Amino acid sequence: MSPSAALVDDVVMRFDEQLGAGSGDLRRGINLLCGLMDRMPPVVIGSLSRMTELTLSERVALLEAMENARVGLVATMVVALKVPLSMHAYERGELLAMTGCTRSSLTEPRGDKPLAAPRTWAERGGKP
Amino acid sequence: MTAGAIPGSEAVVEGCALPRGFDDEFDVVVVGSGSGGAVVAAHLAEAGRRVLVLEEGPYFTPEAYAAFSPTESIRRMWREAGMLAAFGVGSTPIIAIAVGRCVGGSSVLTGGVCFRIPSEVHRDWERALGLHELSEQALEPAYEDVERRMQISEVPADMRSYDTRKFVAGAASLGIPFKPIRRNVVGCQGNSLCNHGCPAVRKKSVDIAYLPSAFAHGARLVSDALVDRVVVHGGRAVGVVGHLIDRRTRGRRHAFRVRAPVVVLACGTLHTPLVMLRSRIATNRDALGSHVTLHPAVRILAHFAEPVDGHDGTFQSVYSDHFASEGLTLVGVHPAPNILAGAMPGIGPSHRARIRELPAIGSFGGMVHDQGGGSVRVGPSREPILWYKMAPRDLARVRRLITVLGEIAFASGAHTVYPPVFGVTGIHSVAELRRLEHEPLDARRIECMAFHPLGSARMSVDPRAGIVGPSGESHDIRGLYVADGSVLPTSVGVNSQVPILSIATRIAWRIRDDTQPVSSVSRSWWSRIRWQIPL
Repeated sequence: MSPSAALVDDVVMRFDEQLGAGSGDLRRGINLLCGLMDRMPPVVIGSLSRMTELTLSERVALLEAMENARVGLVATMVVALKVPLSMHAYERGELLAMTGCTRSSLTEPRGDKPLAAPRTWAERGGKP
Repeated sequence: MTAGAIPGSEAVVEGCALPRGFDDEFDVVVVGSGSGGAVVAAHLAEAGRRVLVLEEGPYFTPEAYAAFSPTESIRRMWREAGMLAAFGVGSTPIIAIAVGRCVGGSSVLTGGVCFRIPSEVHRDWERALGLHELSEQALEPAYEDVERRMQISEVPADMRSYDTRKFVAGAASLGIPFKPIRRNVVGCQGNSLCNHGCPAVRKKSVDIAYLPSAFAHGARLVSDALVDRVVVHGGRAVGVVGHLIDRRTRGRRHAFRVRAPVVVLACGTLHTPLVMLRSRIATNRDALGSHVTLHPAVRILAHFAEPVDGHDGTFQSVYSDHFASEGLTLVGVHPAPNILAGAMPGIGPSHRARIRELPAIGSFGGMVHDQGGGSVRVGPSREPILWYKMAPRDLARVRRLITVLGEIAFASGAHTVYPPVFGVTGIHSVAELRRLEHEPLDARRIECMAFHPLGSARMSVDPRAGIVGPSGESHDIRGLYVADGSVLPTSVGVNSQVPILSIATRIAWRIRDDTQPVSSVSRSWWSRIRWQIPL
């Protein structure tokens, strides 16, 4: 199941705010990175289109190919965006629950209760 | 400029809210409020000096940052919003750098791990570099003072996360002993969010352990205040000039000037050399900004058959120095679930499928005692550019570290190991792991990070070899001191918090003993030049 458009918008907005908290150098660097990524399809998957012109499944295939590239800089381009976007996406709500986090929120301390042994998959009713 | 003294009488003034700049006089001005600056400020204020701390970053009370989510803390309190990196030269990974930019500095964001400098490093500094002031014996009183104020103690075994317990058992089966880590945390709840500011306010970071004492003894702090340069008159530091920052846009607001016969730079390894370069005061330009060490670190992810819930438990609870002779330190670490999610391989559906397995994913890390190769240079705007050329020896150590961690993971019962190598989506045997260590590999495919940049303004006896002398005072400019990680002469191979705090303590004591307050020198050179400091 794909995440909702509202969630994607929220993640993008929060990533944008994160970049806004950095320096002008950082923002220019990310702009350059995005421009380069848009032009990667001919190099990585042999398509003459720009990344923004590809279908969703083609984009996923492109990004997977880039992440698995033998050239480290190509993989780094993907990871430089994937890590912060994932941080925002999986921080709260349903997607945080998907990580199996035993707390409902990452802003509330777990309190002074002792650590308990993790519940097994069976005790959790199977994998999420 | 018509600005007067710093308005109000509060200890902490938020510079972004001031309607004008200021022009004030203190006995000591400290630039930076992290592990170096807060320590110096506290000791000198306690000694009766009038101290001002200027901090570029924002001020948040411990209760305020305790309520931040991980991404909020990264956005508000980490330098470059957590997206700072060292650019690799040659066969070198790109290394993500995590440092703080807030009152309390990186101390607010560390895992709280507290190590003294290893004895052999002390011996090297003494024998090879002649730094007798940094001998183990000479630093002992400083260590004791730091450990008392920071309330350092061992992590109890029952606070270890379950993935850590598995790793420790797996390592023991291979004959690799682990020991409990000592941390500056009292009553840890096991939230595993230390590097975002403790959500339970249990970590004794310097904003809790040092700055309140400084304030109680009359020190003041202005946040959102960026120092542009040190002012020098007749070969002596006589103050600093800078400007207040708009917290939202980071643009310049109002100029300020502070006159003080003692200036202490404690802006950290990345920014202290920049302030000195902008001030055009160091004659040893080759040494300034050079010889930076990072302690390059990696972590592996281990996939177990059943959940381990590594996010429940102390963020960092155990370490092993079993491989110290190979330059490796193994350290338990488990980041927040959303941070771990970003580290899982895959895009879209394949990424999500792995994230569903996160409860069964354990995390473990380690770092390399590197020989240096970093340099800080002025960037296009005000942030520095950090270049790092990893020595072939250190790259081999990084790859060896990945293998060691992976072997322990398999011995712990993991069925799959995700090494920090882009494009390697899972390893299922020790043999496969060992092949990965020796096969040709573009170093930039290794996911590396660093938390301890050190050494850009090294301490040395010989002025040709460093920037400051054994007292912390600049070789070139009297009255200018450096007290942060930049003065460490080499990497130390362990977390740098206590080493920086202890060396800063010793420097603070030297400043207290070697300098005088303004009131004592007002009829001498200070009274003649103090009004001549240009803006």
